Amino acid sequence: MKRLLTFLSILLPGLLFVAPAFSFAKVKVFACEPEWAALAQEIGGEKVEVFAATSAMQDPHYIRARPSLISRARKADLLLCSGASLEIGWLPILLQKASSDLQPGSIGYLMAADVVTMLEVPVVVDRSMGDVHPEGNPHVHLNPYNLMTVGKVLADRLSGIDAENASLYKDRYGDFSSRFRAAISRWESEAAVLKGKPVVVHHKSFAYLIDWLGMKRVGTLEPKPGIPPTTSHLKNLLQKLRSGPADVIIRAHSDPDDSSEWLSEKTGTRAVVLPYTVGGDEQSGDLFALFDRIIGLLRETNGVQQ
Amino acid sequence: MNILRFAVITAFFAVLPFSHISASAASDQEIEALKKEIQDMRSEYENRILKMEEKLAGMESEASQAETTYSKSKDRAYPSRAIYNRNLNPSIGVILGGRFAAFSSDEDEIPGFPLGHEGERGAEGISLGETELNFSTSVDDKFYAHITTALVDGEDGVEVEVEEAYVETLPGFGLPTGATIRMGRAFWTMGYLNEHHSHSDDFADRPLPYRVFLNKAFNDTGAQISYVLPTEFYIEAGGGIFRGDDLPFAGAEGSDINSFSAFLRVGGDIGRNSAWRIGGYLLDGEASGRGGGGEHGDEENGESEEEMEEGFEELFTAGMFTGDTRLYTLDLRYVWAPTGNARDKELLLQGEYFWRDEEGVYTLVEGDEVREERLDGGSQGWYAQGVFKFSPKWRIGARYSQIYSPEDSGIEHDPYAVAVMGDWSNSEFSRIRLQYNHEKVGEDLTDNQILLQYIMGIGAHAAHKF
Repeated sequence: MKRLLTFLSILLPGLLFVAPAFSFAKVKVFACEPEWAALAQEIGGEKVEVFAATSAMQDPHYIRARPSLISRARKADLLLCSGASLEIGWLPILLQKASSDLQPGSIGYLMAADVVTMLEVPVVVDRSMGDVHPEGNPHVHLNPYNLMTVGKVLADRLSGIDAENASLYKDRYGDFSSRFRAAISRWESEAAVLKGKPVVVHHKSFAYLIDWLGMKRVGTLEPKPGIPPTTSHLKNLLQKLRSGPADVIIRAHSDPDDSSEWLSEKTGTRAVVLPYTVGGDEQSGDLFALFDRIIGLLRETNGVQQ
Repeated sequence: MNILRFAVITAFFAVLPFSHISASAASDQEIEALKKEIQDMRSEYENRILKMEEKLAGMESEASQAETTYSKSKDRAYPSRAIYNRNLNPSIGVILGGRFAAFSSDEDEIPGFPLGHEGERGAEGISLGETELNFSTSVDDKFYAHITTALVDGEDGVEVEVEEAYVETLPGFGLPTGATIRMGRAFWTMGYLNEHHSHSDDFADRPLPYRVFLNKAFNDTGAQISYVLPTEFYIEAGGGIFRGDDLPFAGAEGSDINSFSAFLRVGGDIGRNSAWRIGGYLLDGEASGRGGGGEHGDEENGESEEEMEEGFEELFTAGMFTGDTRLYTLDLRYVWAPTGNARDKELLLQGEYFWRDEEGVYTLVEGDEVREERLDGGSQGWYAQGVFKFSPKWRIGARYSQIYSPEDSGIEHDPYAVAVMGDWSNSEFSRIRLQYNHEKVGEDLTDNQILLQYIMGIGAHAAHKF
């Protein structure tokens, strides 16, 4: 019994620490990836405090449930992530210590993959196929229409969490969507020259971009999603490209450069590093700049003068 | 849709004959006007029909797409209702392991530190490691359950161990945000490695202090509460109460709670590249008759039953401890990856320090003599390790571990061990590791070990713990 009392005497003062539920000044948004952080900033403006769990230089899958992330998620009011198992290695650990409003099915749990149309949804899944996601390709943000869809749901969720500012979120979404829609039609006309152009990608992270711009993926450097390029696979790819050359080899900043540079040297096809998300390079500061930059770089490799 | 289309066409043709009859009695001008009106009507209807047809075609193609997606389930010879119950099955993960070990020394005892069965160095030669079955899922909106059973190739055939079987509160339970209670059997929060399953370790075996102080890991039966404070900084505090039956405790009887724990840990990031965590842990309890030598007799030598019983007795009584045990642990972990991108390169540094304070009686059996020794003192141990992932698939690591013999044990030598390893992971789910150990556990006891092991995981995706 003495032990139990000692135990309680240590524990009880600890429990008094339990903080009272403060009414928040700002809605705390925990965004798993920088693109969602940027979107939350567009929709929430001054009324939200946005935290981006990963940066553009990181592969969002290979993240550890670091203490800092656990502590951030614990205080968050809204979780905005790609979903489709992209964050499966670390998000479940964060959710254990997060509020009940952040759990799946709650108002504060928003996964982009749950609200947009998914590409590359496999009929059969097996680990021998590499890192396939049963829900489909999770890199949804590179189709700007998806950003608008998620943005609309996000505005609704923010209105539900922070009813006082509901009209502000609605207005901000309206403003964002009209500006973004105008930008989309500009990007589409600029990218018209890229339609049907064959491309090689490192990982399938640009699937939605390629689909949106109507380009054609003729090969991936990774033999299977998430499996690093192998010599034999690259040789096969080289053979394939010799008979039907690609226009450009695309990789993200977080992808290693050796394979795409090697292939580029062998085939004479230009290798280009595209910013995968906001902050991917100096020019991609926000969502508008991101697509400006991507389309600009792709046009450049096609020899279109800026 | 088809009905609507039919109705529109019928209505249109129904109008035609009437207009013809009325035309005979009307003037040319009126006929012209009517004709124009009909023309307008016709084109309008045609437009509408065209639009409907387009819509219909769209819907049909969508439907056919859906059909191809689901055709697999519809193509059954004997159509039956789908078993939706299957969706509610827990997530299942299985870990397979096997190893080859070669030891230069036949002796696997560590003088001064009676070992539990799990703390031993393991079988020599080819052996199947633990085959671990994990099941976990939410019980309902308030509870989550997790079970880990291990199938171990023991001396008496296959043994089943319940490594973990716990239920945990979900955030929906209503505890303050950040707080969870875990009940049952689990690898409790106690230092860095204890919480983790050994298959996720960076080395093929646990370091010396884990083997001697915790018999590989502390997974007693009990309950634990932990709470992440709402601070900017990561601070987690908690404690637990346990039955007191697992090493370093033993022999729990009656309704008393024989052991408790408390812990506090803090952590954070340093820039984008690195993160750290430091923790302090206390585990306190009573041991009554904590045996050394393990629970397993030596059957292979073909001893008679009496001899075996004697053997058992000796094993149980050699270095049997009764008294209070308190274990203080400090752990530190530091993770570095360029730009925080752990996929291609990562450095993991980790160290733990243990101080065991004991007060009680050691019963020692030496030949026919049974000796009791009062013990009031401590023994310490620590290890430090570094693992470097230099390419997406390859890692190398080194570890040094040391334990200090109890002050009044009369043993001069302080056992130490050095380990170096290299491993290759084809994916997140498979790993093959080669490790070399140099252990000097006694004055004249040197053991050089080669360990080659594989670890494969199928099923549920493992968590990327810090």
